[in-house]
Amino acid sequence: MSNIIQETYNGEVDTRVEKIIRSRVATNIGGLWDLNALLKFEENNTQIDAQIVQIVKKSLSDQTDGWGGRPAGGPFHVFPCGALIARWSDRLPEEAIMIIKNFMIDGVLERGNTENHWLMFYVGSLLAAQYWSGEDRMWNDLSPEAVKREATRWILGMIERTAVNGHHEYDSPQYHTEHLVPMIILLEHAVDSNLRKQVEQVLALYVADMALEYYYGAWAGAHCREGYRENTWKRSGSISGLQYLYFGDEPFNSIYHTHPFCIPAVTAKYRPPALFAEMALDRTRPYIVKKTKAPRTIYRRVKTEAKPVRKYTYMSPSFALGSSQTGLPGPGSGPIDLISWDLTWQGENQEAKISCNHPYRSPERFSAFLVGYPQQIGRQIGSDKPYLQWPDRLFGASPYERIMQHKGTIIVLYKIPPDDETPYINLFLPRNIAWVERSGWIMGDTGTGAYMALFPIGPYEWTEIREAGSARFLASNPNQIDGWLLRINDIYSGLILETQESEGHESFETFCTSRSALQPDVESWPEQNMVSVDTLEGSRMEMSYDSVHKVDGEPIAYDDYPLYGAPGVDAPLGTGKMKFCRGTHEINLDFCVDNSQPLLPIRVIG
Amino acid sequence: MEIIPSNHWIIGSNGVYHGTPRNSWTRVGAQEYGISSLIREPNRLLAGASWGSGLWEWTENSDRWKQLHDETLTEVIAIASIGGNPGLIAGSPYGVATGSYDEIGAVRWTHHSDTLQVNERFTNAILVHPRDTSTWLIGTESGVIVTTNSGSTWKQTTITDTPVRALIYGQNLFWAGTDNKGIWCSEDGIHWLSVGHTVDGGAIFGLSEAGNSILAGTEHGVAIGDSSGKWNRMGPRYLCASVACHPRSSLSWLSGGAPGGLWYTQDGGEYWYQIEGFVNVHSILAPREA
Repeated sequence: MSNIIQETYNGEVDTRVEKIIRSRVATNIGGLWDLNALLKFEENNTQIDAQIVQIVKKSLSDQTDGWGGRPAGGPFHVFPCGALIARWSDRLPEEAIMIIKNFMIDGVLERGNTENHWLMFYVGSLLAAQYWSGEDRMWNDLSPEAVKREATRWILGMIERTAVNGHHEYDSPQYHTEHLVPMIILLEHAVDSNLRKQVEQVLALYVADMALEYYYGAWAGAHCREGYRENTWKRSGSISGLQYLYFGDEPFNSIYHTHPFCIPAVTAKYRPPALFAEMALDRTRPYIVKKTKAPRTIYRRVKTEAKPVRKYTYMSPSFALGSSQTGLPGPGSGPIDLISWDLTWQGENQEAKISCNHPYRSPERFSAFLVGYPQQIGRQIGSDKPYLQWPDRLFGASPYERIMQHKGTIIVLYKIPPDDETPYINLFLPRNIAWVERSGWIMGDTGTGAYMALFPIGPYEWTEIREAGSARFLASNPNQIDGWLLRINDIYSGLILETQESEGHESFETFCTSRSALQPDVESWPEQNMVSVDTLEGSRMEMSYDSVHKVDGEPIAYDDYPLYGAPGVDAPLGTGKMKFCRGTHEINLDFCVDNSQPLLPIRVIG
Repeated sequence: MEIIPSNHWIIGSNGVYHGTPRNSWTRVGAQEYGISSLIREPNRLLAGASWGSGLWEWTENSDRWKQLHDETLTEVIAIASIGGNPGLIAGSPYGVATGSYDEIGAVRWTHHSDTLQVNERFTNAILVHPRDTSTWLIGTESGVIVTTNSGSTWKQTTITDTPVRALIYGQNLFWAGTDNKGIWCSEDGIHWLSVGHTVDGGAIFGLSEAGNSILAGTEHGVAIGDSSGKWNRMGPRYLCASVACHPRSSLSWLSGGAPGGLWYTQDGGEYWYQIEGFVNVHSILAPREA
């Protein structure tokens, strides 16, 4: 791919940058993250300077209690402070710089407890230590050099781990932004050239992650964390801003393309390789994306370690179906935000997603990856996030769920213990579709080129789920959740779903006739642990609950999944080397991993 | 001169505080981390913090806590002293680690239990053998494990298959509090005998010597007993995460709930007084007075 294509792409990104910044400045600048827009857009003058000081002062106004109270904050303050000082020190009013300095040198800072928290914390700390390298000590009584070295070790270790085993906090519409944006700022402002090189490479992986499963404004398939009751949304999390920035694809929308967390990236010089945008937008033919991601951090209440996560996403022109082998080690483990699978198509909010789950709520669930006492942690976490315990919950992992996927067809099976608090599964269906029920199949036409057929395993009931009021703004539906809830009331429940391009069928009616004529074999379920189905494409899928998954008699070799697998992508697991190709354009990454050395262990929730 | 008055109690709550029950309490420094564990030495105070906040040291004339953790030491649940500088064992969900200073004055940590099973790594309590600083008893999510060579190798003890959140040495015996098997004691730290529980049962979170008896912080409040197996629960009911006895008065106890606040008794548990201002108290150190 020539420089001309990259330059053209860069120009397109520049145009979108302008739209985002103008919109952000015109609405309201309220925090340390979107302050970057003001600094980029507005000329230096007294009034703007006063506004900048006011924003910085207000954002860093928290103090520890009582006598001797000092400025207090966590990763969401530390990173933007480091970013502001690294990028805008010649533009920030002196008073603002002193407030930030007081925070970073004399504050009481928190590192947080998730991978994105730590990345923000360490990037912000490193940039501050670089800037105030002449100070005797930082906030934690360590020298700037000691702070810088610790941050560098963690960031380099985390990058290497990601390049070898896959990202821990993978493909999260909420938290990918908090990984990508700090890395961009680091790329542009780290003094250490080796660090910058590694950062630039891991940024390519982060953008590749976004591109490979991008589908008309949505991030299709499985996610490590897509909580906050947003997984029925077309666009969840803050990632929409970065998707628009780097892929375009949609008309600009001032609501969901201007999330404050995206603004430091919007105002940066970084432009990813144009190849990734082309990959994201190419829907000329269906393709399969395979990914390996690092095992989830489950540190007690289980007997064995978690296994690597294997993702499989079928990207078809009119729909995307993605799922994961979560690798969870059984009862006790149930990460709260995990989305193991979903089906996505073009449509409005809450009208273009299908997913189901078992709303696992064992008392052990939180304590498997949080340090609080198991005897109290359910109540403790439930106080802050009561929806994590709600019976209608549509997100979060269950240790009793097993999944198999082949192209546009998925089988999801559950074996829930009889004494489980929620002995059923929840299936979300959009309400804008006129569903057809025939011979056990529920079938629908997306209206945008795809037909769907669902076969619930177990007795089910149509009910409504509507949670009024949105935690955040929504584009076209003011409710947090709004759709059909099919409760499948069986501890041995499940779902078979097949989605096909409509152009392969004469009509929706013929699709319904064809699909309902082919009954899945559930005779051996649950006694023999086996369910099988013939797809309309002619493949036979056989799924054994805790054993082999076969397609046309061949076992699926999950252990053979690469780090990334897709057309034009060559990225074997464990090597730290990847190649992304499109036409004549090639991106080769080599993280120069020394396999004789141990990786930095993940000692944080990821 | 000690950095904290020797007649003061020290507690770990949202920050570290010192004081006496009938008077006001003073926070040490500005930190408000959730403190899980404390060590008091004549010239320094050490605090382990959960939720990723690591390990901290307070010394004479400090104006702030000094960071002792690095990028590998995260959610500190238990700490113990082995002499030297920094001279500490730190326990976290990822196992036990020891630290040493690097050339620029930062502590770097080495983990010693990475090869253990998941539940054996998760460290709730650490007890260093009173006569051998290379022998450590570790209360894990899967019982008590022991090393006699500073973490090079590990062996199981007879307490298995239950979380152990409290370990002490008192009355020439080792004592362990479990989640669902009551209280145990041992002469060698390897072979343990069950010594019963209160009729209320529930997990044990803290243990402390009180004269000829042992105090237990239980899921339902404070209990007192001994190796004869009789345990009596007394006072307010709450999840008692920590309990300590005054060294000069076996009837004066301080007890911390999580949640439940901070409580004091001067008469061996007949009357209890709540000390206002605290909700979660995970660690209590008694005064140093002999």
